[in-house]
Amino acid sequence: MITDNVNSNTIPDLFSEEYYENFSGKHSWEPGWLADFRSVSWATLKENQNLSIKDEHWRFSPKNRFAFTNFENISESSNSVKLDRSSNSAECILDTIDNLLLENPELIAEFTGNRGPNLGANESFHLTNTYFNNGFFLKVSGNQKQTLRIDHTCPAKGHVAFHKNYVLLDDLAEVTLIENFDSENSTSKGGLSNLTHFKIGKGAKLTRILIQNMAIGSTFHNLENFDLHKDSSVVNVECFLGSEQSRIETKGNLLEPGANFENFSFVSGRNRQLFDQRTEQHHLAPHCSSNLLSKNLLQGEAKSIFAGMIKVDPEAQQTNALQTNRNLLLSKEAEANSLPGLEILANDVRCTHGATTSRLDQEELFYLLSRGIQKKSAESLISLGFIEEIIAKINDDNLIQNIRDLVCEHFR
Amino acid sequence: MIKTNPIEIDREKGNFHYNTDYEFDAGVGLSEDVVRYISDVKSEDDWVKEFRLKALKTFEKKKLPTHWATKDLENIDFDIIRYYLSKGQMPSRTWEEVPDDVKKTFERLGIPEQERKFLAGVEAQFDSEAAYSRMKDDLTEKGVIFVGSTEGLKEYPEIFKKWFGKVIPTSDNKFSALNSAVFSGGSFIYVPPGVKLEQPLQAYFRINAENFGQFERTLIIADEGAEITYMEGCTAPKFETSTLHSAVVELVALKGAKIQYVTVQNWSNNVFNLVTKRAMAHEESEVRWIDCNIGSRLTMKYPGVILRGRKARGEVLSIALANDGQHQDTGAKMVHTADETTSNVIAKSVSIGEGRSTYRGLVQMPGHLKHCKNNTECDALLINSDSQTDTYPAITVQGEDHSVQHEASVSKVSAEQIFYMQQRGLSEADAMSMCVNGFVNDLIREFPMEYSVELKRLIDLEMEGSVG
Repeated sequence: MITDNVNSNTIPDLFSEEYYENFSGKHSWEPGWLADFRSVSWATLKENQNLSIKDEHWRFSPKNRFAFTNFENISESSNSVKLDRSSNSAECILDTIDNLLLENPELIAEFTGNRGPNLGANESFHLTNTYFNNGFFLKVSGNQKQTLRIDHTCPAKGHVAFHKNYVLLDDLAEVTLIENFDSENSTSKGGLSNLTHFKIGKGAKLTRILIQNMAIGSTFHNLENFDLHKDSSVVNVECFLGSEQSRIETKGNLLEPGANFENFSFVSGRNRQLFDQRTEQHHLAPHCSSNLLSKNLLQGEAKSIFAGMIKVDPEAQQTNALQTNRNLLLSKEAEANSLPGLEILANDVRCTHGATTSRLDQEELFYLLSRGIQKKSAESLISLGFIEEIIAKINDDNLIQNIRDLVCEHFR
Repeated sequence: MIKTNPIEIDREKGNFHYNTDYEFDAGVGLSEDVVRYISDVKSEDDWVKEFRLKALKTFEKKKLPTHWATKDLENIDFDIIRYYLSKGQMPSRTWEEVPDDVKKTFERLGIPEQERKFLAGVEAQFDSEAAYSRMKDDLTEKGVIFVGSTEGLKEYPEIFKKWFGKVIPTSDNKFSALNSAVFSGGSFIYVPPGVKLEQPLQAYFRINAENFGQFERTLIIADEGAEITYMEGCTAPKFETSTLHSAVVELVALKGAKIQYVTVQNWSNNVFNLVTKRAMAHEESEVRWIDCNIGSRLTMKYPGVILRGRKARGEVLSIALANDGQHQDTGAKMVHTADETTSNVIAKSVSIGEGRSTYRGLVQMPGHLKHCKNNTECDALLINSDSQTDTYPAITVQGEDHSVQHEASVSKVSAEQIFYMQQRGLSEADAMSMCVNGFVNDLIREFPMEYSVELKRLIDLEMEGSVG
C-alpha cells in the first residue's frame, strides 16, 4: 500500500550532499540566518529520510508517485511567480521572494521558521525549506480592502520549483487573494512544491481562491498552514483540475476565541489523475467555528483521497465544527477514498462529519437524455451542478465562468 | 452545572474471585513448549499441533500495530501471562455435576435457574475450558452440533476443518496469531441446512486467575437456509495486574443462512480485550453482529463481514461505554466482494469521566461489482469535560454503480434536557442517566430481552456518580 521511495542505490541529485553543497555555494551571498535555516532544514530532512514506517498520513496513497526522485534539478527561474502588481507601501507589502532575497531579505527573517501543516508530507516541507528560491510575501495592514492576484508557474520536465510564501494580515485587514497555478505549456511536466504560511491577525478577513490547472504529467505539492487569531475569518476556496498527481495539505489552527475557518474545495479528475488531499481543522480555543466541504468529481481512472480531521482540544469548549466529503464517480475505474476523522477532547461541542460516494443520479440523467441532450453533455451539466456549491463561494463572475469552462473541457 | 471531577466507581461489582485448584497449568510465559503442552493435554491431532506451532512463529514475527493503535498495547507483558489453566477436560453435562465453587461463580454471573429452562444450551467457559455445557436434546436430534473447540476439531473434523482459520487467517494480526497458537475453549457450532433455532445459544466467558490470558476460539457454521442466534457474555474479577483476553470468532453463513451474534462485554477494568471477529456471508445470507462493550481497560474489536455472495447482507450494531481509565476502540469492517451486497453499521458511544471511545471503520467496494450499498452512522455522546472521542473511518469506493454514506456526530447532553427533567422533580443524575439510556435506546431494543434489561442496569451503574 505504501511503498518506500528511498532506495539507497539511486540516491537522486536533490538528496545528495554534493547537490546541497553546490546549492549553498551558489547562495553564499544570502544572510547568515537564512543559510542556517536551510542547513537545519537539510539536516532534519536527512534525519527523517530513511524512516520507512507505515504512516497513516499516507494511507491509500501511492507515495512513489510523489517522490522527489523523479526530478533532477531545481528550477532557477525567477519568472515562476508573477504578481499583477508589486507594492511597497506602509499599508501593503507584496513582492516575490526572488526579489526580496536580493533586496530586503530581513523582511522574512522573523517568519521563516513558521510551522507547516505537518500532515505527513515532511519531505516536501523540509525540501522546500532547504531549497526555496521563489514564492511571494504579502503583508497587509490597515483596513482598506484589497484584491491581489498571483500566478505560479510549474517548470519543465525534470525540474522542480520550490515556492515558500507568506501571507500576513495585520489586525482588521481585509484581503481577497487569487492564486493561479499553471504550466507554461502542456509539455511543462515538472514539479511544483508550494508552502504557504498564513497568519491572520485579530478581526482580519481573508478570502483566498486557488485554481490549479497545471499540465497533465506534472506534480503538485501544496502545503498550507493557516493561523487564525481572535475573531478573524478565512474563506478558502480551492479548485483542482490539472496535474498528474497532487498532494494537498491544508491546516487551519483556530488559536483564539471567535475565529472562523471555512475551507471549500473541488476536484475534477480524469485519465490517471491522482488527488491526495489531507486537511485538519484544529480547535485550540473556545467559541470558534470551522466548516469544510470537499467535493470530488472523478472520471476515467482518476483517484481521490480525502483525509480530513477535526481536532478539538480540551480548552476548546463551545466549538462548532463541520466536515463534509462528497464523491461523484462517473466511471468504473474511478476510485474515491475517504478518511473523515474526529478527535474530540472537549465535551461542549457540536461536531459532525459526513462522507458519501455515489454515481450520477440516474433519474436526473434520464430526464436530460429524454429531452434529447447527448449523454456527455448531460453528464457535464449534472457535474457542473455538483461543484456549483463550491464555485458559488467565489465572488467574481469572470472567474466563476472561467472555472466552469475549465471543468466543461474535462467532458470533451 | 455538571460536575467535572474524576469519578469514583464501585469496582467491587465485578470482583468475584474464588480460589480454585487447577489440574492442568501451562505455567507462565509463551514458548514452543507451552504450545506443545496445551496441544498434548488436549491430545490433539498432528495438524492442529502444526497449526499452533506455525501460528506461534507468525506471532513472534508480527509487530504490535502501534503505528495506528494506542501505545497502551506496549504495556502487555507476554512473558508473565499464563496461557493455559484448566480443572479438567470434559465439560460436565448436567448442572448437578458442576462443582459447587464454580456454580457459585455462575450464580453471581446471573445465569438464573429460571432463565436456564428457556435457554437452548449454555456453554460457560471458566478460564481455558468450558466447565458446563448443556443443550436441549431436540437440538441434538435436529443435528445441531454445539461443542468446545477441542471436541469440535477432534470429533467433527469433516465439518469444522474446512472453515477453521479460513475466515480469519492466522497472520491477520498479531493477536489472531497468538490466539491460533494457544487457543482453548470457545464454541464450535454447526447448524444443518434449513434448521432454524428459535432459542438463542449462549456462552459465558470468565477469567478467574490472575495474569491469565483467555484465548477462546469460536467457529459457527450455518448451513444453507439455517438460522441461529448466539450470545456471549464476558466477565472477570478485579486483579492487581492486567489480564489479556484475545479471542478469534469466525462465522460462516452459507447460502440463505442467518447468523446473529450478540456480545455483552463487561470485563473488569484491567483486562486487555483484543478480539478478532469476522464473518463470511455467502449468497443471500445475512450476518448481524450486535456488540456491547462496557468493561475492560482497552477493547480493540472491529467485527467484520466479508460479503462474498450475491445479495449478502452484513450489519454491525455497536454500543460502547467508556468510563475513567477505559478505552473502547471499536468499529466495523465491511468488505464487499460480490454484486448487490448491502451493509449497515450503527455505532453509538458514550464517554464518561476520562473515558475514551474510538470508532474505526472500513468499507471497501471494488469497481467490478454492481449495486453495492453501505450506510454507516456513528454518534458519540460526551458526558464530562475530560471525556474523549475519536472517529476514524476509511472508505474506498471504485466504480460508478455503488452508493456509500457515512455520517458521524459528536455532542453532549444538552443542558435544556437536563433542566427540563429536573424541573419535573428528577435528580440531575437520574436525568443524565435517562438521557444516556435514551441515546442508546434504539440500539438496545435490538438486543434480546434479558440482555436489554441487563444492559440498562449496567448503564445506570456506570453512570452512578458521574454527575451531581
